[in-house]
Amino acid sequence: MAEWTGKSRGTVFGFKVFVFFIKNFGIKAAYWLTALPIPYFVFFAPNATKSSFYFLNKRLQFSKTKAGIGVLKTYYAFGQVLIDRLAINLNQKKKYSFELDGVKHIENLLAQKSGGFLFTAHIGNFNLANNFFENLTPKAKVNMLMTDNEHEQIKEYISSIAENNRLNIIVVKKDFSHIFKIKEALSNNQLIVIAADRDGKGKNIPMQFLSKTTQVLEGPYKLASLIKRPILFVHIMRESNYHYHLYARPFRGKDYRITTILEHYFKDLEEKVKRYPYQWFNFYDYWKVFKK
Amino acid sequence: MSDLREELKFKIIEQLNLEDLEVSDIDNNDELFGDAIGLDSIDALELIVLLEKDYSLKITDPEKGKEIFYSVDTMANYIEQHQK
Repeated sequence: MAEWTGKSRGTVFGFKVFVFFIKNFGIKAAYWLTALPIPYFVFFAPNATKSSFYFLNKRLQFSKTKAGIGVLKTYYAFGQVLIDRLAINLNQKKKYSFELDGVKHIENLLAQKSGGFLFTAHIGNFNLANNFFENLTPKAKVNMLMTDNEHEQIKEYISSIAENNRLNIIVVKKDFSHIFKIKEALSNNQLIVIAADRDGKGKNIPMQFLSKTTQVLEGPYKLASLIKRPILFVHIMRESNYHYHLYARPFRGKDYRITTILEHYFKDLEEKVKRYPYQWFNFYDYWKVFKK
Repeated sequence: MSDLREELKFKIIEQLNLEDLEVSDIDNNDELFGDAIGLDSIDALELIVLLEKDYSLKITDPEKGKEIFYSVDTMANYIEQHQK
């Protein structure tokens, strides 16, 4: 598994089963349901299991036992995050509490009226962003940049059940139409969310992360470097049942060079993954250490 | 007329850091985002910014963008037709 293939494991049928459980038996029952396929994932998604174990054991220096148990915890947390996202979109938001940490930075950004970028990663539950931003003054419109080959069916299904969905998706297209959409969104003082932690098709640049070099797609950094709008590093982490913590930290680099943004972002990311080790959801060979 | 095309080629190479290319390597009709030059979508943003900064031309329509940035020739034609 050389790089992220852009496919998320899961089907529309899977989502429908979970939606049925949340509606009829409650959120906790749905959490338990997500635990059932964990043994399946451990054995039949060997790359994901191996990657998750490597992350905990080698990069975070957990013992083999702790890392082994950690893989199960990670799978379970991944299921819970998915259920929470569905439950909140199914109008059960009042059951959840959200802690806003650094929201003044988002408000400062919006006050500048130039739009901005929110850099995030495949950790925690960033898709809940709309639930945080809809209470801000002025209200923040959030656009999420997604690759074309991410699962279309799942995307459509999520948006079809989403109520009051403030999260707009801008799809990266070969005809670069997304560039115009990004520019238009920024000129309307909107926010552009970009997952900035993965490699992918296009130019990748080396980055030292958790004491080992990995490759990161240059695109998000090049975009931010060129457009020069305020950047926030935003992560939404699950802390307990029905409780999330949003962290927003401003980029305070001395310049807008690609490497400066990259280094600052990964420093912030490193701090978050160390604090929430079981919410690292990059289930692939992130550091390119496994032989094909 | 051809000066503008040469100027654009020079700017594209310089702005996009296309170190492997010389002005003479780019044909006026080469597809910029095709196999010949192989630009990507972020490069498109640089071209949009280039037109804004150096030629005071704003492009907001993606469909038009596709046509304008097809080649050096289409870019030059657009500049010639729209620059006051």
